[in-house]
Amino acid sequence: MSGPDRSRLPSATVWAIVTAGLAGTAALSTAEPAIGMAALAGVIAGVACRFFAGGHGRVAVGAALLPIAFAGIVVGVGVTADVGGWAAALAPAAALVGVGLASAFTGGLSPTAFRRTGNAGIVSGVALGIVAVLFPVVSAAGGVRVAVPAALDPAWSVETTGLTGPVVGIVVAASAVALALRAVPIAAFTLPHRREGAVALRTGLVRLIAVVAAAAVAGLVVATLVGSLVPRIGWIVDAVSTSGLLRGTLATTTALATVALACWLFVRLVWLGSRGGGPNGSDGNVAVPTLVGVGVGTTVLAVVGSRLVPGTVAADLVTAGLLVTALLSVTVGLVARPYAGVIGEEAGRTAGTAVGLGSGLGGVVLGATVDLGGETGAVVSGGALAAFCAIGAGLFAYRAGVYGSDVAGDVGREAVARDVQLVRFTWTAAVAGVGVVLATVGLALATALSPTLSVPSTVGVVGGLVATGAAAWLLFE
Amino acid sequence: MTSADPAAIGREDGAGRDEVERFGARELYGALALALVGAGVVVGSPTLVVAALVPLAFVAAGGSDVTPDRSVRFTRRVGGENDDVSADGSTVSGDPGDAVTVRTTVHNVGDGPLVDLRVADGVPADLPVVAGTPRTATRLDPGESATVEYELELRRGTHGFADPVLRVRSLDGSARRTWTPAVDDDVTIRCAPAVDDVPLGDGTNDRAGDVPADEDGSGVEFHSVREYESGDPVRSIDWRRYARTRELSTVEYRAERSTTVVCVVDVRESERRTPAGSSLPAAALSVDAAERTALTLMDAGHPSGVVCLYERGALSVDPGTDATTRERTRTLLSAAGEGDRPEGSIARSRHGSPAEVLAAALPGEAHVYLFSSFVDDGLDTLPERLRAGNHAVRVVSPDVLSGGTDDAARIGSIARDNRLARARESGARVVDWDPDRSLELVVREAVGEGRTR
Repeated sequence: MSGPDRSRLPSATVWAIVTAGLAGTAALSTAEPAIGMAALAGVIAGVACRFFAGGHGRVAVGAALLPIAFAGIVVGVGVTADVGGWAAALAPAAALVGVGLASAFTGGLSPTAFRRTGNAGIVSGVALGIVAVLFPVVSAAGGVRVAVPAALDPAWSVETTGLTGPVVGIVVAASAVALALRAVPIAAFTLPHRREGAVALRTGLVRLIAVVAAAAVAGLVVATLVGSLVPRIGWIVDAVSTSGLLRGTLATTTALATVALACWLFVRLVWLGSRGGGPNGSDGNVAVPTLVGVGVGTTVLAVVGSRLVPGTVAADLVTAGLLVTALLSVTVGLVARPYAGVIGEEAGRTAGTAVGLGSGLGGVVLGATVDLGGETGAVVSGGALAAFCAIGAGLFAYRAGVYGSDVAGDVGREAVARDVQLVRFTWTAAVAGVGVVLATVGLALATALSPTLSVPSTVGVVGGLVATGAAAWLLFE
Repeated sequence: MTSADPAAIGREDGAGRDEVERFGARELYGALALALVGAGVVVGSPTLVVAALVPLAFVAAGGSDVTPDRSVRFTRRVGGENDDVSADGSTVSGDPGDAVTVRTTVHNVGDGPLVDLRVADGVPADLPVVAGTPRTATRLDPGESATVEYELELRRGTHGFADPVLRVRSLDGSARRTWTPAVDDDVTIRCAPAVDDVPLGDGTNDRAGDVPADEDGSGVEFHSVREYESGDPVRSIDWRRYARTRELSTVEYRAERSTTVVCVVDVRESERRTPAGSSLPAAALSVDAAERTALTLMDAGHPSGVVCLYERGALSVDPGTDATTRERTRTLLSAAGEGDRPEGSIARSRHGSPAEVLAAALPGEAHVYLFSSFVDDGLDTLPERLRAGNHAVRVVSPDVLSGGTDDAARIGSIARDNRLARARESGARVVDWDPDRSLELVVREAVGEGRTR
């Protein structure tokens, strides 16, 4: 039997944190419903991080989800920014709540998963940066279907005649494909005991391409010579030399082979810097699935962005969004990598703290933007009560996380009875509830007494409430 | 707030431990309240100032300085109805590999409720928990009890429970108390199956004794009938056959011989290390097996002795069956298991290599039971030398490397297999002993009445 599971929270604690996180998110969403989308993006980011602890397939899924989640957070920030400058900070706070919720459900992140998340963040940042640079160019040209042929026009222009173009195209395309094949990291596609066969296959393909290219060039030359002697077959050379399809195919093949070559070189570079390990749980190298996943995620974002332009959103806005997402991705990657060596697998404390911090910060931002306007009813409807609830939910989630982590550390998550947790959470919720009620009543009272409530008078009200509470406590003690 | 040490509740600090710790959660919430007030003043937001009341509620709620009560009675019961174990007073006995159920009960004997009681029973270090968990966190009202049930897998040796650790936390989480309670009806688990019989197979000598041999001679058990020869004792003639056939024939009886056995135990340094994946060193297993083999043979009337091989010599007790030999055997093996030498002059000391000292210590006709794990090549050639000296050799080799999963353990295991194969080639009977198997079966295998591997 394995030892007690100290890295994950007891189930009742998980649900307590989730409930607090949802309550906090709901409170924040009263300012702008789009906050919920940022929280959802945070959940996706948290789940994606967890995927990095698994095998290659799960790592690829995680790497694909990561840029999508970051884009969701950026969109959330953009939408809430319309409400007000301060409100834009609500989206990251809600995203933090989402990450905490995912962490509570999925358990702690190992240093390996954290390190992989950081690497994937950097890779996806670079990929998104490239897409952001290309996006306005492609948009200005009128879309991918127009931009690609236009970009390749010099290579396949039918204006050019003669054999030079096709011959150069064949040689360049064959060289690019051969180089891409030669650079294929064999270990990404086969098992160690089949390596020899895979290498032989790769070598054979490279030779085949060389032979086919040489034969094609030779055929073209022979056809040209024969065509000059026999005018009746001269049309073949003319058809080949002026074929847009041929030149376009060669140019596209060259471009794809170059991209593949760059990917394989990246993989080899990462492998060379690796210390080895296995794919499942240990500190193995996951460059290939990370690259594949990031490629898929980035492509999805580029396609979605191109669909939105020009009908729904301006191209500049999408470009800016992609750039900010790339910056966020790289930043998260750079922060996560060094943090990986420090973090343990204390899921409980991390999850509770993330939810508490997100909800609490959101509550503070929300509270700072509240304008009561001298109306007592605005305490409830104007956002003050929502701010108090968010702060209360944050404190509750933090305490729940600390408690769950502590009790799981003592006896293991499976040995913790449900009722002992419920007693603790009922008491904590009661304390938070009393705080929220006191704050709401206090603020409403102060607003009623002095509609143009100043900060000093508020401090006085709070002082009075605290003194009353302390006196009551001393009395009952 | 002070963070909890995750391993604290499982720590073995001995009986009498009673610690009370207090946590500074109020300072955190107080600072948070001040920060909210400060932020409210800076940005001119009354809402933020009032929001400070939320963390202040936690400050107020965590204001009690009450020390959690420790009125808990702790009881442990070992052995369930379906367990194949026997109880004798405070000792529970069973065979290796058997599972024994442990029920630990905590009872709130105080006046108030225990809202957060955490229990970690002191599981014996060498016995793995195979079902259930020895820990719990629960809530107990006055007079209530909670029971934790788990199963331990028995392994060879005598195992005592460590001190259990209990911890209670106050409702507001501001204080916790950790202590080791007194245990009602504490028990010890003993897993040392007795050896009822050590068969000797064909290992007899020419001395008269009480072990039936596979040859005719004087004895009480019928062996065969042959034609009468002049000079045969009259009492050996089969008179019934003569009455029936008028032919004289002589009844032969199975000869009875005695056997001198010497148990040679390898207690060198390499045998006293516990390899990865094993719970006991090979020397402990060998000593245990040799002691019970020798004593059982003495009970059966066979003169038996012991030789313990050290790095540069040996200590031996000469074969015998008397009480003095038994006591000396026990004393010598008890000390040898720890790598020590017994006090006093109970054993004969010899210096030299194992082969040299054994040649001097072994009686000429003695059968040798060699107990060694063969984890190194120190005794590599010993079985061959003993066979060359015309001794019947049985090798009982505890396999302490089988649990290892690393490359070193695998390589060591292969090398050990090669050494045992060489011992088999020399004519010795070899038993590769999985320590979880019954010693009696192992010894039967050693003498050829069971399978060997």
